[in-house]
Amino acid sequence: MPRRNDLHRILIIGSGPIIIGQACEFDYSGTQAAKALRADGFEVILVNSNPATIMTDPDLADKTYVEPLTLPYLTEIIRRERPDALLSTVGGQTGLNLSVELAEAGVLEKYGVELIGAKIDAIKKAEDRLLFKDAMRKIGLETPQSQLVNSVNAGLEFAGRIGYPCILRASFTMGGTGGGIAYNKEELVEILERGLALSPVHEVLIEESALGWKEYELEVMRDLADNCIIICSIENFDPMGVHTGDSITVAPAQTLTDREYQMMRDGALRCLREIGVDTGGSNVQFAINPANGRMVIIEMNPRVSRSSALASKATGFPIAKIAAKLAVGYRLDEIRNDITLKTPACFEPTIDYVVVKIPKWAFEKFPGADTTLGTQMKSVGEVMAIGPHVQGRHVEGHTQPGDRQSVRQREVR
Amino acid sequence: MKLPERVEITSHNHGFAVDPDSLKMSEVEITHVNLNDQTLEGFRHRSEPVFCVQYHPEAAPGPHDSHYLFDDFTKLMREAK
Repeated sequence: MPRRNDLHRILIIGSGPIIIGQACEFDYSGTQAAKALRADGFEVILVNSNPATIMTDPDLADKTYVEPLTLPYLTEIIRRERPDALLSTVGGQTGLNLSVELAEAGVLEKYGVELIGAKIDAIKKAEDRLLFKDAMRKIGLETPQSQLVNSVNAGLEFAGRIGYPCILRASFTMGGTGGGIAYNKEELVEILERGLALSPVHEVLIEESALGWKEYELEVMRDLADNCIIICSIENFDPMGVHTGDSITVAPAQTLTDREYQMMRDGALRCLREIGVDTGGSNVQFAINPANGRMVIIEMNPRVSRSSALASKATGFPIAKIAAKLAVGYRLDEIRNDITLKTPACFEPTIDYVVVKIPKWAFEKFPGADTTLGTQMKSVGEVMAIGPHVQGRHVEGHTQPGDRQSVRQREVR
Repeated sequence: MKLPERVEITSHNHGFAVDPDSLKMSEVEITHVNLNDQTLEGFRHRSEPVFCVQYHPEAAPGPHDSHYLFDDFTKLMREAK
């Protein structure tokens, strides 16, 4: 399956303003993708609302629109430019969400634009909590146990079975109201009563919590011929409950036996195939309960992610660039390995060194901000250190110039 | 013969390889080729239930991409019974 010759103009959506949680890594991935596609003779149309990005530099795309990233503007750009395809996977969550909006509004169909990278069904299956759970059950991967309850008694019974802490989410409420984490019976009753009252359908989802479990990520790639490879495994130093963006992470994973790692690898590949991401990079997250070794799959991002940028730098495998090439039809074995320049890109990098990423915060600029780390990302940057052993990289990462945070707050609760 | 477009990630470790040209007129056909250096990794007999690979589908540590070979093998045994 070589390069597709039926596509000529490809639209890339950038990720917009830089915010905590979505920063220059998506400028990097979009830029890499644009370069790769143009080098291959495709015309690239780029949209990003943020002019302070590399991707909006005049020479990077054939046409660059600095316009708001909203449905009406995108629709107008598509009407004018008539791209053949939209690459949905290199503009972060913003690019992915807009691709979904455009597809659902019928804009892509109306103007004959093909979604490449991840199709709408795959994106939905990965992003919708329940669809994802069902899909994972189908392929025999465990997810955290959960149940919908309509009464406090039913809730107490289920929580008694799965143990505390557990996570509560009220159905059909906005922005997580009526939810919370219950660490004991009393808290469960309190949150559950409130949640049931707030939910218009009188329903609350109770979910087993993986707080404090070991957290891992695998960066995975797939081509149209269904070849799948793992680019890199990443282990979070901080347990589940601290956002990966706020966590010290180490690549490759350090505390897994080969059996555990292969189980995770097999699971990630099954997940990628079941969700149906056609081409390109995805990120699959797992948690392992240190008490009994139970492994659950947490989520899957059907796009180039923050961790992809780290994995690219850690291994030398340019994920975004290759994701773009896979999206236009190439197979992994038809693309050249960027490092050897001779062998194909269809390989799993084996690294005999470690890479430690240490996040940076700027709490001194936000007096009054809660400095406790949790499930919402708060870091504004990161340091990466490469070397022969983990301890040394920690020292290097922590002694970067400008680091005035000698004490790291890592309390989960 | 055209090889399938599937790639397996495998453990392998060998210092010798069969010269593919030496098999041209023989009763076996090539089934696996190493993408990194194009060495021959596996072949099968055209008519008899015989196949082989030179890497380690059974290896641990190592990935499980080649486990289908064991299914193929037991299938051949069942068919030959």
